[in-house]
Formats: sequence, C-alpha cells, structure tokens
Amino acid sequence: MVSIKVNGKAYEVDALPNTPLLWVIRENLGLTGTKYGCGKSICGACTVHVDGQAARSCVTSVSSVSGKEIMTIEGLSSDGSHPVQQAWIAENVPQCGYCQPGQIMAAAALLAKNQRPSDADIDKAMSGNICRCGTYQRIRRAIHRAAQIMAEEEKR
Amino acid sequence: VDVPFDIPNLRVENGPARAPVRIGWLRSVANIYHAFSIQSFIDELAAAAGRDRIGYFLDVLGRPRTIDFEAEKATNVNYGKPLDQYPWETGRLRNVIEMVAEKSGWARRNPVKGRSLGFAAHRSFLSYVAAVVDVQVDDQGRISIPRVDVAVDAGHVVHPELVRAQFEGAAVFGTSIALMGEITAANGEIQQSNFHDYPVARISEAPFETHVHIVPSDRLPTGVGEPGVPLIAPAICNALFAITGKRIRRLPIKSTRIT
Repeated sequence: MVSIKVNGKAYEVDALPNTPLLWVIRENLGLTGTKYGCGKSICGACTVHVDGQAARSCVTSVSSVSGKEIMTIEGLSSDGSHPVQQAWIAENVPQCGYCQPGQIMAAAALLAKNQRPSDADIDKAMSGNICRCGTYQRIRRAIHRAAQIMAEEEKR
Repeated sequence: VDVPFDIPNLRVENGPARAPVRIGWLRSVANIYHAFSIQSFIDELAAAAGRDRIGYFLDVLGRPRTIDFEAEKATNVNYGKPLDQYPWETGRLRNVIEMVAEKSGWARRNPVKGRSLGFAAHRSFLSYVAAVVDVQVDDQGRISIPRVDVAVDAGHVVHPELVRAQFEGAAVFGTSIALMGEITAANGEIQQSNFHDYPVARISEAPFETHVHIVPSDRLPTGVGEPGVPLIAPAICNALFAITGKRIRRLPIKSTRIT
C-alpha cells in the first residue's frame, strides 16, 4: 500500500512502489483526465503538478511522491473557472483535445511562477508538451490571456 | 491530373513503383508529394526565367478557365464528386493566390539576409489554397518560421473559426513533415518508435503565427481538414532556395545542410 494525496484528498492505494504515478491516477483513482502519450517523458500529455511543479506522471514512481501534494486536471478548479481554463475556452484552443490536460497543467504551473510570461518564457516552459493538431499559437495566446485574467482577479 | 497550368500539349504520365512497405494514410495523403514536386518545380522555372515567383505562376496558370478533362483526354477522380458540381476552376486558384499575395505583403517585401518568403498554391479535397511562408535561417542553419499566410476558398463556410483552426494546425503539421518527419525501414522493420526518434514540431519550432484568410463564397462547401498541409513543405523549400540558393528535392529538410 502507498499513501498519496491527490487534489487535496488522501488515498491508500494498492500499488507497487515503482508503479508510475500515471497508472495510479488513472487506474486506481479513476481520474482519467490525465493522459498517456509516449510513456517516456517526451510529449507532456501526462503532466500533473507535484508540490506546484509540473511533473511527468508517466515516469514518476508513485512512492517518490508519497506525502507530496499532487494535483491533476480534475483538481485545478471545481467548475472549470481557473484562469487558464477560462482563457482556453475564450481562445478555442483544443481540437482533438488529447494533449490539452497536459498543456493546461503545464501552463498553470508556468503562470504560478511567472505572472507575466514573455513569448520566449512560454516557448521554454511549453516546449515539452507536444500538440499534434498544432494548436500552439492559440496556446500562446491563451497563456497571455490567462495572465491578464489573473492580474485582474488580483486587483479585485 | 491536378496540373492547373495552361500548357498546350500537356502530357502527364506515371509508371508503377515498387512499394515494399504498405502505404498508409497521412494528413493530406498523396497531395503531400504531388504538391511538393509541382510547386517546387514551378518555382525552379520561375527562378530560371528570372521572374517574380507569383507573377510567373499566374502567367503559367493562364486566364481563368474550367479545366475540361474530357477535351484533354484525361481523367480526374475529383474526390469522388461530379465535375459539374465541383469543377476545377483555375480562376478560384488565381483568386486565393492574389489574396495571399496581398495579405502577406508579398510585393512590399524587403530583402533581408537569412530571411525570405516562399510561395505555393494547390487544390486538394476540392478546396483552393495558396500559402506564403516567412522563413528565417540563422548562422547555424537553424530554421524558424515567424509567419504563415494562407488564403482558402472552401466554398460556403459554415464555421469560420473552425476553418481557421484547421489551417493553423495544418501549417504546424506541414512544418513537421517538411523539417523533421521521417520514417525509415531497415532489416524488415521500421526504425522509429516514439517521439525521441520521430520528432514533431513543438511550440518553439512551429510557425509563430498563421493568418488564415477565407474567401467569402456561396459555392458548395469543400474540405478544410487536410488542404492546408500540402503547401507548407514546398513553400518552406522555395523560401530556403531564395535565401540559400540551394534547391531541396528530398524531405525532410533536416537531411540537407542548409548553410
């Protein structure tokens, strides 16, 4: 048994220590928003937050994150109202959608650290996330928009 | 016979080619290599004639006409659609070419070292598309694409936002094919297995911005998912020729030394 905390909830899961976090999230917890892409930390589809940092859950063993705060796309907001989610809707970013939970988690982690990212900051932070549909220019626009939304929310 | 040029006595042939590997599907399918060869070659002809690429293309395209395949003793499967409903009209291709030339600032462009525009135009999936790609090459031969302009006549467009998204994505997909997408076989097996040895364009490598210009039309609606792909590789290579004088005849471009 491994104890982990996902989206603020504590779980005891029946998994081997070296089981990838991604399998535990999807299979044991049934949180299927996080996607399997390459299985090698090259594509970013499986991105979650571990203590606020973007992490590739496909190459993260479940035992290594025991006691840490894990957040998946389901935990980003209860109602899809996180600034990144609002911006994603406003810019009509997704096409097929498969990579988008990973893109959104990577973007949210970037904005938590850098409230006003430049285009170069965005390219650097988002380069690990592949989108085969090619939504990159909308992703960049949406991150700038989310930064604005966050700045406005702070003023209020 | 998707050769739209008004050439008297045109003869187009193909012969059997051995394909030991089963040929599957890729976004825009056979249009990728047809457009690559035809759109590269017309650029070579324009260069040999010392002419502006778009001006030359329009001259060879000739005055607007509907291609009469019967008179030319040719067949065109036309994506399974009847030619009387979805005719091949060269005037619609001319129209998107003129539109993309204007929107991309083709005539106003200034020569800059290591940077040039490249052009291609192609009808596929019954839609007429023209593209201008702005290509930059740095001292190390690294290629970046600051901007793509695409003009599209896909007949009556129901949802313009969706059409724009498809052509933005197609520019990225076309960039992957042009710059890096390569599958090779050795000893009876495919050598690539994942994104480490089959890279696709990432946010930092994709065109920085793609501007999609839609022709207002009440004609029958036609394809938008794939027709944006075939133009990108030849347009990039035509720009690279303008920058480096090197003609690329083999894709992906990564197999050619650029500088």
